Amino acid sequence: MMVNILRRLFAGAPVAIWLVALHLGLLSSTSSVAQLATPASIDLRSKASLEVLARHPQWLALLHYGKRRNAGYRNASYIDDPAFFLAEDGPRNPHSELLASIERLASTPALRCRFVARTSWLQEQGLLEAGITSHCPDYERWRSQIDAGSIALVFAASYLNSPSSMYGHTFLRVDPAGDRAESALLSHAINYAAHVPPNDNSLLFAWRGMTGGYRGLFSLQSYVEKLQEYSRLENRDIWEYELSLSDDELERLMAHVWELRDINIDYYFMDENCSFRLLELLEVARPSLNLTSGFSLHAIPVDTVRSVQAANLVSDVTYRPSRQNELSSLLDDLGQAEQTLVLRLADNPALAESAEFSLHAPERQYRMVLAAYRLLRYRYNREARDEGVAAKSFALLRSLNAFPRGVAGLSPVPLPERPDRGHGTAQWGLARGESVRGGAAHQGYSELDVRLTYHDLLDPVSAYPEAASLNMLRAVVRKTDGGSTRLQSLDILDIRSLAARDRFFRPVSWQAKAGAERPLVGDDRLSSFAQGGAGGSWRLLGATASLLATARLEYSEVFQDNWQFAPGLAARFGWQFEGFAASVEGQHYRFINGVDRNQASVRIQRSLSVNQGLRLSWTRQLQDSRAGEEVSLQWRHYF
Amino acid sequence: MKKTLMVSVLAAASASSFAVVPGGDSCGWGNMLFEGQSGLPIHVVASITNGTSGNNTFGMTSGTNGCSADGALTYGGKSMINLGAIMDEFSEDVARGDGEALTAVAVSMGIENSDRAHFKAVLHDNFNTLFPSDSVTAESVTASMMELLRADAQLAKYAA
Repeated sequence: MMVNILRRLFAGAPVAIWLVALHLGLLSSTSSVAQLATPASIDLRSKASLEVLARHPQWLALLHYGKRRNAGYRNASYIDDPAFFLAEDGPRNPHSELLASIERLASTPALRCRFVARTSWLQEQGLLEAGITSHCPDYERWRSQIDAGSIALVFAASYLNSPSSMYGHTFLRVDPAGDRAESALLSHAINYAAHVPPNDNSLLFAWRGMTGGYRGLFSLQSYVEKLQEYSRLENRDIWEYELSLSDDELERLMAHVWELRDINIDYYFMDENCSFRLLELLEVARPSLNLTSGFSLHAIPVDTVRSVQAANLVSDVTYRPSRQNELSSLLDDLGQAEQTLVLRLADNPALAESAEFSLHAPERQYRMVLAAYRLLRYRYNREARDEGVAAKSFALLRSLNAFPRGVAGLSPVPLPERPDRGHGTAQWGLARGESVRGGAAHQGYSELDVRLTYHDLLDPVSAYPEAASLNMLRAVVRKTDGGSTRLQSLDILDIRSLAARDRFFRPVSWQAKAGAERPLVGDDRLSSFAQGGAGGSWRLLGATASLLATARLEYSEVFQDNWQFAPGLAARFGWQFEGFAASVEGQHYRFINGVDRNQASVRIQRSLSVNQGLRLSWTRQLQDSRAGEEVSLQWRHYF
Repeated sequence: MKKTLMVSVLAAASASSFAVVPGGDSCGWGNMLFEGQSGLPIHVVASITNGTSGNNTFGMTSGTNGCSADGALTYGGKSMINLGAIMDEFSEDVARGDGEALTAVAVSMGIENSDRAHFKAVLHDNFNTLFPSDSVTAESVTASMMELLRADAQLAKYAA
C-alpha cells in the first residue's frame, strides 16, 4: 500500500524529485553532470528514490517487465537476451539494471546509441547529462530513412491454407510525415515474427511454436513488401487501424524499436506472439496504457486489435482488399457473357482487337480487359515466371493502356464487417438434449461446452471468413439425468476450409480434426481419433455444397484391434447468412476391420446478438445396423 | 531461382542500401510480369513467410524477398522509391493512368501536388515508351521516365 502511494507520488513528479535530490546532495559540487551518475554519487543521494524509480511504469515498460492481470508487474522481463541488459541480473532485477544503465551509459557514451530510448528517459529523470546523444549516425540515418510521422496497427486477416496463419497476423505500419503519407507504398512495417529455419515443416512449426522453441525477432521492412506478401501472394484482406499517438510517444516507440534490433525474444505461438509484442511497444510509447495484462493465457491477433480499440487509440480504419477480393468484385460487375469474354481474353489477348469485342461499350471493354489481366496475374502469382503468361499479361496491359484515363470508374470492393466487430473468440454454451441408443429408452442430458478459440461454420459469419472454420481446444462435459457427469468429447484441433469453386477461382476444400469422442452406438467408451480430408466445394441451391474424400485413424477399446484406420467420404450443405446458419452433413467410414459407420446431422443456429446464439442439433449414427440418435438445443455465448 | 534466395541472404550480410540501383536486383513476391524480376519460387516463400530469414532483419538493405527494402533509393542523386520492388503494381498503374504505385513514385520523386495529375497523364500516354517489352528492366524504365520528364516543360524540373 505504502509503496504504491509512494510510487504514484514519484511517478507524477520524477523530474522534480531529482531536482531536489541534486540540490540536497550536490550543491557543493561544481563537477560535470557525468560525475553525478557514478554509483558513488547515487549512493550519496537517495537509494530509496532510485529503488522507487526502478518501479516506474516507463522503466518497466522499457525493460519489458509485463503487467500482471490484476495489478503490479511480473518478477522477470519477457526478454532474456543478455544483449538487451547492462546488468547481469537485469532480466530479473529492474533496480540493478537501472543502476547499471546509469553507470554504463555515463561512462560509455557510445552505448547510448544502442539504448536510445533508455538514454533519453534517464536524461529526462536527470540521471544522465543531456546533449551527448546527438552523435548516433546509424540511428539518425535509420530514422531519416523511415521518416516516421504516424503509426497504424495493421491486421492481416486469416490465410486459410496455412494453419499457423489462420488467426491472422498483426504488425505496425510507420507512415512518413506530410504528403509522403499519401501513398502507403512509401511506408514501412515493423514486424515481430519467429525466426523459422527454412526446412521446418508445419507440424514441427506448430509444436515448437507452442513451446517457445523459436527465437522471435523484430524486423523492419518496406510496407510494399508486406502488401505483396499478404494481399497479393496469400490473398489476405488487410485492415489498417490508424493510431493516435502524440509526437513524443511516436519518438519513444521508434527509439525503443531501435533498441530491440537483433534482440532475441522467445516466441510462443499462443501468448507471446507477434500481436502481444506489438502491445508492449505501445505500452512503451504510452506507459499509462494497460494493453498486455489481459493476455496472460493467449493473445489472438484480433483480440489485441480490440484492446487497442478499447484504449481509444484508434482514429481511423482502412480496408485494403486482397487481390482475390479485388478481382472478385470486378467480376461481380460483369454479366455472364462478359465473364465468358474475360476468360477468353485471358487465354487470347488478341481478342481485344477483334470486331466482336469492339461491339461492347468502351467502359465495358475496359473492365473486361482489366479483369482478364488481373485474372492472369492472380492465377500464376504463385508460380515461377513463364514466358507465355508474361507475354499475354503484357499484351493485356497494352490494350488497357489504349483506353483514355478514367474511362470507367470502378466501384469500390464491398466493405466487409471490421474484424474487431465479430463475435468473441472464446465461447461457452449450455445445452439440454436427449439421446437414444438402439431400442433403449430416451435419456435426457445437460451439457457444458467450452471452446478456447475461435469460429465454426455455424457461428455468426460476420467479420469472419466465409466457409472456413478453426477451433482449438474445445471440451464438452455431459451430465445424464440421474446419471454420471463425464467428458463427452474433446477437440484438440478442428479446421475446415470449404471455399466454393467457380469459373475463376478453384480453391481446394480440406479439413483436419483431432481429439476424442464417444460413439453414439454400442459401448460409449471414449475413443481418440485424427482425421483429414480433401475435395471441392461448389455453390448449389444457395448453399455451399462440399464433397471430400476422408481418412480417419481411431483408437478405440471397443475394437478388438484398438488401432483402426478408415477411408471415407464426407458431404455437406452449408448456408451462412447474417444472423442465421444451417448445415446438413453426411459421413461414411469403412474401417479395415470391416466396421461400417455412417453419420448424418442437421444443425441450425440463430444469432440473438453479436455474442449470443441458439443452436439446434440433430445427429444420427449407424454402425453395423445399430443406430443411435441425439437432439439438443444449445445456448451459446461468445466472449 | 535458388540464386535469388542466395542473393537475399548475401545482400543481408553485405550490401549497403546506397549501393543498390533502383530495381537492380531481381526481387519481389510471387510471379513477376517483367523479366528483370524473377521472384522467389513458392516453396521457398512458404517456408519463410511466417518467419524471418536472413540475419540482418533490421537494416534497410534487404527484406525477405530479395528486394532492397529501402524506400528511398537514389537515382542520379535524386531520391526515389525502389521501382524494381513494385514493377508489377507500377506497370498496371501506368497502363490505367492512376493508382497507389504511381502516386508513390510521384511522391518519392518530390513531384508537387499540382503537377501530379499531369505527371500521371504523361506516363499513361507514354506507356509504350516506358514499357517497350515484357523484358524491360526497372533501371531502363527509370531512365525512360527521366527522359520523358526532361522533355516535358512542366515536369523537367523534377529530372534536373
